[in-house]
Amino acid sequence: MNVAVQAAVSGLTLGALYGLFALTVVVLWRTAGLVNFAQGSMATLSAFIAYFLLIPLGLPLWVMFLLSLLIGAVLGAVIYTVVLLPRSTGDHYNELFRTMGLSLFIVAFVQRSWGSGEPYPFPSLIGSGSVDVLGFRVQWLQLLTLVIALVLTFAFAAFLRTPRIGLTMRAVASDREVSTILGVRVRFVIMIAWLIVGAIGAAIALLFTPLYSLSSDLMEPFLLKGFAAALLGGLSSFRGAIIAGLIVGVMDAEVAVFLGPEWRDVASFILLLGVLLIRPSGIFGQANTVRV
Amino acid sequence: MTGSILDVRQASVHFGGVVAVDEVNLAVGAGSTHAIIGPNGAGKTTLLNAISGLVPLSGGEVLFEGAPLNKLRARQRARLGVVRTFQNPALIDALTVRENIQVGLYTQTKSSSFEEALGLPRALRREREARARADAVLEELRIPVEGSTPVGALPLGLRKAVDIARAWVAKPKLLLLDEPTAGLDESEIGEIESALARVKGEISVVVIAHHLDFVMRLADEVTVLEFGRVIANGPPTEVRSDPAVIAAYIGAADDD
Repeated sequence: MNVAVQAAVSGLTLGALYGLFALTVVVLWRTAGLVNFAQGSMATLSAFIAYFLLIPLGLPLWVMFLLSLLIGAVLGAVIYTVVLLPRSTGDHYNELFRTMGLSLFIVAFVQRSWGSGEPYPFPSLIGSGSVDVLGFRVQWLQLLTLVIALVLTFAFAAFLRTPRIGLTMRAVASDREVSTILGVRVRFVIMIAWLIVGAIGAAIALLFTPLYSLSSDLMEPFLLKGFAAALLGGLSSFRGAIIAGLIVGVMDAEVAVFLGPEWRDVASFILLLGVLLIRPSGIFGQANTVRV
Repeated sequence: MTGSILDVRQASVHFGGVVAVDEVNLAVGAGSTHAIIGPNGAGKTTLLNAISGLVPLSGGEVLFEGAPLNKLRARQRARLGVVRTFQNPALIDALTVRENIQVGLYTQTKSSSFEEALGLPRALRREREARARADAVLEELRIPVEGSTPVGALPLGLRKAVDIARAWVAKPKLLLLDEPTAGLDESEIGEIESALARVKGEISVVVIAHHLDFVMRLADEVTVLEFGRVIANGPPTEVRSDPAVIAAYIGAADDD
């Protein structure tokens, strides 16, 4: 029992990061009707840029963290402007393949620049050590990661729920043409989504890196688990994204403990498949939101 | 200033070699309802598109409250108070009636999204106000629909009425209505007419309509277009008896 609870506690930390990843999927889905397959590689690239640009400056870690969010946001804006904006037709399949190509490009760029799978030690936002929570040992790093992830989730979700942003994003996602006719600044709204998605991606990478280490395949686990969480949460629900992320994280940790680490991806894949087959609208989604 | 809220001077719109609007002059008095009629293909919607900024003028100019609009985009014109509806209502089916009207309010008024995001309590208060305003407009125009109804589920008549509410919500100075009665039955036309009659005099309205009785009852002034040119202009009774209008408009209607 203790082992199960201990696993759940560490699963919650990773789960909060999966939830954040799922949030980025939801943001782009709700705004641009787009699934961004480059989300993971964008986050990895942000972390590498932060590593080589900011660490030599010797800044306090929290300043570095905030600057990294800025770097991620700028990267998101650049990618939208360069990759998705030219000849933008709102054709979802066209845009989907652009992000797939972009992902391959970024991975190749990172591997070429900084080596394939080469680990780089990344400083932790907090020192080692642990604390007892209800009789269970929790590392400070895990606790901090969980707290920051939840704070970021609620902060961004609150921003996205503000009436102008929230409603105009939904309008743009539903019908870009009519939104344009109505005077909604469609490109501006989608740009905001990419800024947010870029910033959150950088945050995920920076919170995840100290738990493992910075490398070109840093975000690989997120591709399967983050999308599984987004689908389980219903693709259109911010609350669903974070709750589903936590569920996936705990499931991941329990499977690793009781069945063995090699079953983790299998379990996530079964979950992903199960959601698509049994309840494509997820736990919190509306029945008509899936359209890819 | 001429006392008009809208002055269209020598306006022309060309699409390649096609002249859709040909040196049209039009003056809309403040608070008046001005109808534009004419056979299909006469250039009525193109003229409205040029006034609202959806198509550029090839020649001439459009003045609103004495200031030229030519260089302003549609969104900027909307924020000055020039707002329009569409023959096919410009509504987002996935949103509710209230949300569609709110989008209209947001796009016609100026405010900083970031400012709202940073001051969440204020943002929430504004949202409450926007929702209340949307509901108030439905009541004001007596549109018999719940704010929470998804727009996709509405029949055409109500969609047109909601489109007018969406345009009306930010209290525009000039409302441009493109065929608000097209495709509607008599009772639906009656509902649109009474909604417009309720706001008559409060703002200036330019309305394109095929339904002559509707035009005669509602308009203070009528302009008749044929092949992109003005062939008659004046009070409804005068225009109705104009031989050129009878030949072009009524004749064309008979041909249909």
